[in-house]
Amino acid sequence: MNSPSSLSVMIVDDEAFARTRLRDLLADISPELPNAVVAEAANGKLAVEALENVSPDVALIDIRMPKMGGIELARHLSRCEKSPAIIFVTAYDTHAVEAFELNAIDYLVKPVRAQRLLAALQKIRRPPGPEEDAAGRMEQKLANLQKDARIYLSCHERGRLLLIPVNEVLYFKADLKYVTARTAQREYLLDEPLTRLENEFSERFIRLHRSVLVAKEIIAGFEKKTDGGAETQWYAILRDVQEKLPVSRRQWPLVKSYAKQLSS
Amino acid sequence: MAQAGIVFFAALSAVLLRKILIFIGLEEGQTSPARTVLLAGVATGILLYYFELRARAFSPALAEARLQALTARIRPHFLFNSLNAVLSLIRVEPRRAELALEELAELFRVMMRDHRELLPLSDELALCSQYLDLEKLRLGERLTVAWEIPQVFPNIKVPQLMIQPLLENAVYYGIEPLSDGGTLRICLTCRNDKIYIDLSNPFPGTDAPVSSRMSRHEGNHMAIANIRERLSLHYDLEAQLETEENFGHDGQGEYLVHIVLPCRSAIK
Repeated sequence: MNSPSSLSVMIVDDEAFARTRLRDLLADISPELPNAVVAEAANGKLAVEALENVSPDVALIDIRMPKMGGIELARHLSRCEKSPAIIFVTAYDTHAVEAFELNAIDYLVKPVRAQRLLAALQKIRRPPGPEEDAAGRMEQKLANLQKDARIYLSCHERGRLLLIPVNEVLYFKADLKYVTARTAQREYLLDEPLTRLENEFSERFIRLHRSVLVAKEIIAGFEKKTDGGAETQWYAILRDVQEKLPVSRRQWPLVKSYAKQLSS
Repeated sequence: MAQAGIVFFAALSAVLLRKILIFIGLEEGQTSPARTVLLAGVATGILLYYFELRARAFSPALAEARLQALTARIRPHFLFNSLNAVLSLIRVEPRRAELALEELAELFRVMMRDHRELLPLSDELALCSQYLDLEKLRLGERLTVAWEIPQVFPNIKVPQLMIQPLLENAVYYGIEPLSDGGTLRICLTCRNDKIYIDLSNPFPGTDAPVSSRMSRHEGNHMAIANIRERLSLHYDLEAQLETEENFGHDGQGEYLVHIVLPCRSAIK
């Protein structure tokens, strides 16, 4: 059935009936546009897992889903080399629809009609592929659509897309070229700047240093060290981690006032 | 017309104010007329604002208009998702699709009714159960509903759509964002001539962004404020609506709404 010319489709929606409906419609339009559903997932997180085994041409993605919503899923996918083309399917969201129109992002409204689905699949905008910039632009467009902070960060390792739950990250550290996210288990290389992470996750993280953001809740205390001369340097002591992180003189007043809040 | 009135009013108060100021000796009759005009303008503004407030507070027509405007509207998200679920049912389970469409029709009949009248509490509860049936169709086992309603309860009359919008929020902000769903509880008790309606639902707690918590949602905020205002228009201070947010040690949140209604005054 899955002939080389047929379009492979993934359906991501948390409602079982909504998935059934899309499957029915895809079957209805198959005489005009041969297609095959290669994966189904009930939320963004499961979709990323499913994508380890299949690489569909196109993903039909609901917006409001538990665990990870459609916009966040698309943001993670848009950084992948072989990202499927994405068509959002939404029940009702005036804001999202306006934004989609504005940014020329493909979408369908529920209940979806067969003809609309067919038309959308026929004019799929190929994912940006080799031009790096285009992928970045798509990610930025989607980022503008997402009001809440992401629940996961993504990282590419040997062609795999890894998801890192933001609430497992202990701290972010920027080196010359890269930003790493440290969890209790290991480190991950990220490809986004620290300032952007700081803006997005300011609720959870605090900046200690030009190059360090730490999760507020893992700060256990502070200690002062005098490095030989008159220079004193404050360090943050962390829960469950041996490493101590330096606090810059510029950030110290802010960090100190936060520490006071903590102890009160 | 109204503008002419205001100009006239302003002119009149300017003259009067000047006279008064001269009369009480604060002004020698020499200060610049511009200052007087300015003062008069301010005085006029304050007076007009006062009358406006007064009219607003005392006009029954306005109170009624407010009631109408306040009446909850069902979320389009729910309508389109329900229609979508029914569409997918038609091929596989036509009977169930039929039933669901009937319920949807009934629900919309209520939504489009004149909302100023009070309705029996039992009608509101029936509407709630119909609404929840449709949500269950859509969400499957993710939504469980636990009713605790006494066999006999004083069937007082209540403002329409007093409970349903709260349930809709409980589903939209509470159950739907949970991948494993949860139980929505509706408990009704009567004590000392009062009816207590308690609703509770789980919601994604500490592992979700704070902004997605129920108490932070503008939509939820508006619905609660709306129902609180309608209750006060109908019952004055005799009715209460309180909300509460708790976190279990597993980090999951629980959102509670408590409503207290007087039994007697509502029977009128």
